[in-house]
Amino acid sequence: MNAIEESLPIFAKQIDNARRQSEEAILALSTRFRGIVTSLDAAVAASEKGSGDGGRDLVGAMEDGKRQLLKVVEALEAVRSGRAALIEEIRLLAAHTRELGDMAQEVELIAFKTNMLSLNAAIEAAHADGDVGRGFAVVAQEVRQLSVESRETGKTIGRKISVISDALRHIVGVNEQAVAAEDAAVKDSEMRIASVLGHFGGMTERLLHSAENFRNESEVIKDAVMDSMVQLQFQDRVGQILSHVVGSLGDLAATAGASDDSGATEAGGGGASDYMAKLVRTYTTDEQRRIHDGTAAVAVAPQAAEFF
Amino acid sequence: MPTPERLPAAASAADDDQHQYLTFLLGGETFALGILGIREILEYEPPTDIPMMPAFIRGIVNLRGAVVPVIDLSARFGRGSSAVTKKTCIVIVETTWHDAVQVLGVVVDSVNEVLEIPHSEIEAPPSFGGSVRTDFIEGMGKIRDRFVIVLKLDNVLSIEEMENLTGATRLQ
Repeated sequence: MNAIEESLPIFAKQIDNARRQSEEAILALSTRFRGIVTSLDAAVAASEKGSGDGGRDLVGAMEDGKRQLLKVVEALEAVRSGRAALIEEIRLLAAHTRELGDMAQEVELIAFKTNMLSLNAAIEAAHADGDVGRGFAVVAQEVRQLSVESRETGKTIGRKISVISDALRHIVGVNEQAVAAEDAAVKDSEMRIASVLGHFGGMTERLLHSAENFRNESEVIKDAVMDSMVQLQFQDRVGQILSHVVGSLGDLAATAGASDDSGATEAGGGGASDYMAKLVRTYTTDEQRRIHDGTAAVAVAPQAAEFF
Repeated sequence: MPTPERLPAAASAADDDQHQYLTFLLGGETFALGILGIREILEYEPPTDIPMMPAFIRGIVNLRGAVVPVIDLSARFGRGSSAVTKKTCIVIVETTWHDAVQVLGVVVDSVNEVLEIPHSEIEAPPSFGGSVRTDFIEGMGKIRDRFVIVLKLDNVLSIEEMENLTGATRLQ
């Protein structure tokens, strides 16, 4: 037993321990990575649900709100046009009262003519003599009384009509002011609604956009993580190589023990080349062979994105 | 200051009737005319124009076949013509000149009423001032505490004076 024989199994055990530790760590790492990918997928799905359907919900709600608000504006518009119709009616009424005013003036004119008739009768009565004249004078007086009464009636009608006309004019004026105020209110409401809707539209747009960004970024991160997982496949090869080295160290120890027992010194040289040849046969990768031959180790691309 | 005297012109006709006067408006002022000097009141219709007449003669109207000159009283008072309205009337009056009765039309803004003004309620015209020539005024009649100008028709419508004025116009 020499130092090599004793140390070789220990080397093998150390290397195997390192291999196992790194394998466990890499396995844990890739499990964590897989967990990250799953979480990202879940987040993206949730975001799509949130901003996809949810975004559509938001747009739908906005459209609905717009329709409802436009109905309010329509209702205001209806009130306004109703008022305009009312004003038109009142204008017609005012025209009628003007006619009535003219008629009241006609009444006064008739009263005036009746008065003239009574005055002519009075003149005739003055020119006539005695009882005839006095009788005529009584008639003239009565006719005059009628004319005074009808003139008063005409004047009263005229005054009443002018009061009504003034009231109607006032109503029309007030109504016109109200119509103007309503016009302004309708326009203002339309403007405000458009502004609010525009504001919400912009917000929705930005929300949808940021959700889209989030999904894209998530995809990028997910791809990077997947790439990293593929890169972690190096553990497989490293494990194989280290296992092989451990096996080879075992073989070497056994071979060394056998040659000691035989005691043949010649067997050492012949045994070495046999051992090397046997070693080459046990290689499973080109990489190992190239290293054995002394050519530089070349990074080998991972062969597939298969997970372990 | 002389006390208001009774008017002799009023006493000339039958006493009962001469108390009655027709009041009318002219340029916003109320005037009165003795009713016996008045024949009738006509609705205004534009008189037929006569050329070469002074401004206070509006023209002539046909009164049941008789030609009647129409006097613009406002113009006669030197105030210019009043605008014709629906209430404008022509008062047909009689004046006497050289024992002949002359019928004339007088344009007034509107006629009011026939009423009695007792002699006691008629005062002498102011000796100066006033809006109408004093010789046109017979007196100031008091009606319901307001004074109206009672016109002296023979002077207002003095044929002689009017003829002179017409002649003067003709000479121009």
